[in-house]
Amino acid sequence: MARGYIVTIDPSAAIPSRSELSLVSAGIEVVGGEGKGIDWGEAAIKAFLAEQRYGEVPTDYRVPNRQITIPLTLYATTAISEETARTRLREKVGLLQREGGVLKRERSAAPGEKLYADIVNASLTIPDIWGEGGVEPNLVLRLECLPDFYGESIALENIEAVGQTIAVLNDVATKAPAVIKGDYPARVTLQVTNQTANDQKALIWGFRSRHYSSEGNAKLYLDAYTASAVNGSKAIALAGTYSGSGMELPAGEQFLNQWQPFMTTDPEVGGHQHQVGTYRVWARMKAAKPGPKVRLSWGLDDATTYTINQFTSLIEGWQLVDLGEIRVEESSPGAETWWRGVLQVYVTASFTIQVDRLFFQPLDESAGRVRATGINTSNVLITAGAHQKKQKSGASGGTQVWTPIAYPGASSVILKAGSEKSKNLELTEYAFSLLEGSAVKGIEMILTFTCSTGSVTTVNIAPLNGTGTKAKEREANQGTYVFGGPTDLWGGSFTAKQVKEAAFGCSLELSIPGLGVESTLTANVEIKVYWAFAAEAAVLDSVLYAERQTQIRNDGTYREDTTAGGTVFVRVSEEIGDLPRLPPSGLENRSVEVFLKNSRGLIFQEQGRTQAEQEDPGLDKIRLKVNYQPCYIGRI
Amino acid sequence: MTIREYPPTRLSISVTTPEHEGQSGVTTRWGWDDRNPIFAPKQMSFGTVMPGGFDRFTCTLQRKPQISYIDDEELSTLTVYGVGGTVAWQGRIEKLPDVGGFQSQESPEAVGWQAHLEDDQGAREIYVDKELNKWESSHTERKKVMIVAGWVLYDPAIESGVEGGEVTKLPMLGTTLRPPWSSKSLSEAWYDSRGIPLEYFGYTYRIIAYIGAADPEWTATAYLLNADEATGDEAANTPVKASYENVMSATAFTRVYAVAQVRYAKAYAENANQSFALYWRVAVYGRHSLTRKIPPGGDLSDGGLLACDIVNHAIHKFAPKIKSSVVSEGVPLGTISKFLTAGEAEPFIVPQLVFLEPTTAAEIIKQATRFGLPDWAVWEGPTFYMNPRGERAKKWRSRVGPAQLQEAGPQISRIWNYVVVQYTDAAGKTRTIGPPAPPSGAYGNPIPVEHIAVNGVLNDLDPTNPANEAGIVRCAVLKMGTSNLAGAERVGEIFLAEQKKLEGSGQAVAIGTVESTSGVLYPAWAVRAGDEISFIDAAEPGYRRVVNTSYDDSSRTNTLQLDQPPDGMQQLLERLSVVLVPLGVT
Repeated sequence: MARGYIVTIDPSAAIPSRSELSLVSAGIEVVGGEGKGIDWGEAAIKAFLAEQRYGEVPTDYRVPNRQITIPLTLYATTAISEETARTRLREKVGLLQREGGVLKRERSAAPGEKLYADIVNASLTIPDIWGEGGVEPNLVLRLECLPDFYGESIALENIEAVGQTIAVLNDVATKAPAVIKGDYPARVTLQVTNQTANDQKALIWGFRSRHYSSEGNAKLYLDAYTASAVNGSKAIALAGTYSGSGMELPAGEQFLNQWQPFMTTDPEVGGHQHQVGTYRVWARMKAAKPGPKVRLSWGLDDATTYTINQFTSLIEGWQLVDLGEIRVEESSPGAETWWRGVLQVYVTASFTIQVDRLFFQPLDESAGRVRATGINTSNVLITAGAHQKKQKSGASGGTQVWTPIAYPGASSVILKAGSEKSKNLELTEYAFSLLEGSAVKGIEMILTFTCSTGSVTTVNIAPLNGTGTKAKEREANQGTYVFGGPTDLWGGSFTAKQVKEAAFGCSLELSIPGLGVESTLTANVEIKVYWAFAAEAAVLDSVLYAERQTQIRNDGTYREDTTAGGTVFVRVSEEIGDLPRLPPSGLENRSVEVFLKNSRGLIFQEQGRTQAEQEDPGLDKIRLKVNYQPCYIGRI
Repeated sequence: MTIREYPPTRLSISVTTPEHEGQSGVTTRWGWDDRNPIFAPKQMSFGTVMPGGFDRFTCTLQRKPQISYIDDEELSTLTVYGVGGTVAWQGRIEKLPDVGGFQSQESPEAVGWQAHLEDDQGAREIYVDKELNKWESSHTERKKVMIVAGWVLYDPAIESGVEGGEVTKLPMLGTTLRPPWSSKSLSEAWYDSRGIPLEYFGYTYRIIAYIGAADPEWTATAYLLNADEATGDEAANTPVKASYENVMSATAFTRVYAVAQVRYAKAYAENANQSFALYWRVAVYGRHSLTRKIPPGGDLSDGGLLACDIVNHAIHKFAPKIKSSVVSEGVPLGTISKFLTAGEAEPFIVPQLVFLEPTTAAEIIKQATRFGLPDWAVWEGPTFYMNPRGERAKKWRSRVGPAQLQEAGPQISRIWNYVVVQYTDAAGKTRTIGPPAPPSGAYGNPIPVEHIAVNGVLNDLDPTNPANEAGIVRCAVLKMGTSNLAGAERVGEIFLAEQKKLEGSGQAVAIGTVESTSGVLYPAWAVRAGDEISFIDAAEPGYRRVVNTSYDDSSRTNTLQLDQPPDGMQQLLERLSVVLVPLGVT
């Protein structure tokens, strides 16, 4: 009886905590022969793929679980009775039912690559008729497995890069583009090591294989200074960028209160962008002041019919900006396919806007992003919600005097044409209670205001008996603004004693420039004091800590903690998109390109986040190590 | 042969539990590709609706009822993402039913964050109140005190037809003294806000009396008061003038009564048939600090508030988890623009909006927007958007066959060419406004109404209207609540315009992908309510409005309801807060 495969349940190499059970030894044997043997469930899988081929399932793959049927015979050996073999098998199946497990298969005729499958369920049918002569025939073991068989891990060549990792994956030995084995997207681990002292708050990743092109205008990034400047923008030397140059729309060149195209994706030297497929477009940009809105308008060929993506509001400083998705179809085989994008900006006041580089995150095959969205206050205590007992209109600031109104009311001030600024409203006697000797970690001020006419444009707020001032320029007729945060000491420091003093509080100036009519403003400020028992630094959330490692794996993304020499990995706080799978090279021998962009900022502007959490002020070096396990749907 | 570049339609889900005491919630990823079945959703479906935004979401997860999973928390935010991070749906988990046994599973149910608009069911506010029947005489205790003090008291009364019976003018609140009296006389009307703080008391009055305004004993006084017993809190005291207009601002948060009073401070023994009356128009505003608007050439009685301001206030105060993108006034910013009612250069001023009884932000928004029927929705963020119909619509195209287009087709019950609106004026009287009479002989009988609108406003002049083609009058009569003439006319005009659109209603599907007007393929879930779609090979290839979507991820099919409010005519009437009076012909 020729055995097709050597099958093992829970092999110790794959799942060390389990006891391995061979299905071809120790009293257990797979039944082979004509019309028998293991049914690997491939027929069902192929039928599903055929449906997809003919368009009944128009997009993507979603392969159902594999149902494996294994006919077995139990028998007695000199070392083990048939009864013991049955018990071992039954107990193993019970464990698989409760907790799942792993199956290993290896060709018996020509031993080669070991393949594994994840078992999610199992059942064992034992006939009601007892076997005779120490042989128990006609047992059937049914295993429900995840559809793909996977091989053992293969390492690819490491990549080191600053600020981005965009490269073809290479074979370790040959240094040539790696051939990714398998006939199904491979399980992959992106092991990212931070080689700098800066925490990273976001990682964006993707793979490109089907539409990979080595052509210069099909790269996954575009240096802005090489693109075409329009409407007053120009390429300049620019520090803090990838290439030392960038695109700038200088102050004074903006068309206020309208969308202004200022840069196209066409290279200045001629030509067009030739990426094919679906991409998320990101831009590393810098605004001199917060508030401008940026969007991408794009279209195929001359963009005569174009698509306008959703805009993104900028904060101040360098940041990674989400410009939405583009989708470029190959027009027809052999014909040139190209697209054109136009960056547009909307500002209400004139100030400089700069662009470093555009990134095209490939989405077709496998892509995602992770962010550190957790707000860690577990080791920082908050004394929050205290409201001031005393309000008065101070001597400094603008001209208009406040009418002090006690909480829960709100002090009010009337601004008029020509008198558009309030005096400083001084709010004190918050009655904070802190333990002596505790360390103040951060001060947060939450301004709530209303405005009867027009919109408050400028807010200046500062702690009393402390240091620092913060300003915000944004138009709103009512709302809540948050200044400072858990780690923000407003450029100075505070002691517990200072915070407890009656004089601790804040001063507030509001203004509405260009006010034509009278407007009544009301304002109230809540303060939160973040403090700890001792002076240790608060550990803030990150997806990749300084000089630490993060693994973007097929079962989730895990980051190493901050402990020196630590090996504790914790799942990151937010994952969006796919779990990573590496496209196989196939008969076409396709190269696979990896896209990985790291950012110190959160990449989305969110309310309540500090400037430090959102901006991406520098380019940090990372090392990427890729390991994959080839996957198979068909029989090998 | 060219193979089209299908977009990736893969979806994943982020579930973030609510924040607790400054600590951010825990975010968990659910995805079809997760190896752990407790994080692999099946049978996922979700939808959108306009107005409203993200609607309902359901899926199943293979989970054990015995275990409380970390993301099993009601009010967790559930966001469905496309592979590139585009939000396909967002809402909050409301139910987590589960089933035990061999096929144990959990079926999370979520609703869009629009549900937050109905969380606070105790919303009360006086946006603008000009209704005269809320003004009453002082209560017994107050009368007793005043009589003991020597005052002869006269109750106020609502007087209509003061200005020649013209229904274009508001009726007035009369405070009338009827001589003779022995020492001094007074008439006053009280407005009780029922505890809602008042900010402004606007009034205008005119005198109709046998003595002149110059008589120094006459005093007209407006009060804003903390209690209903005395008038010592805040007063605007003026000698009587022939006519006068003033807006009184409350200086404290505690003012909850407004009083309009006229008095004569000494005895008057003239002809007993004479009367000395002050007729008031009044408008009371709560303490919402919204900008009062009076149209050019109008007076206090024409004033009110902008719907966008009311909506912003309601969201900020009663649904604070939702961020409003509605710009109250000023420069339109990007795709967010100032809300203008459809077809108007200037915003419509909401003349009357009061919620003395507890209600919700959703009801406030519905009432504030019925004069324009803008699109409004709570999308990702959660952010509230409001804009003229179709302004934010993405445009899609498809074909009749692949989209399996089903059309309701024309129906006589949806055809009207005339509309008459019955409304209740500030005095509580029923008024009517309607179109000019049909041309003699051409159509049916004239339609008798109190006020006739400009030709074409409340009658459809479109010659292709089937009723016009057939030469018959199909007149709808709408009954609405308290309003003024302009508000009633506005509602009738919108009804006439909107009911015509119901004719193109129907249903279609987008399977797998959908094509934009730029020829770019998007995942089928990208179509949201409020978008527009054209079936380019249909008999009528124009754009149809998508009012409801329902996406089934298993089949990658988005089912689209077209050109009809979700419940057809009934929904339209509900949004307008009117009742269609049966005429015997439907």
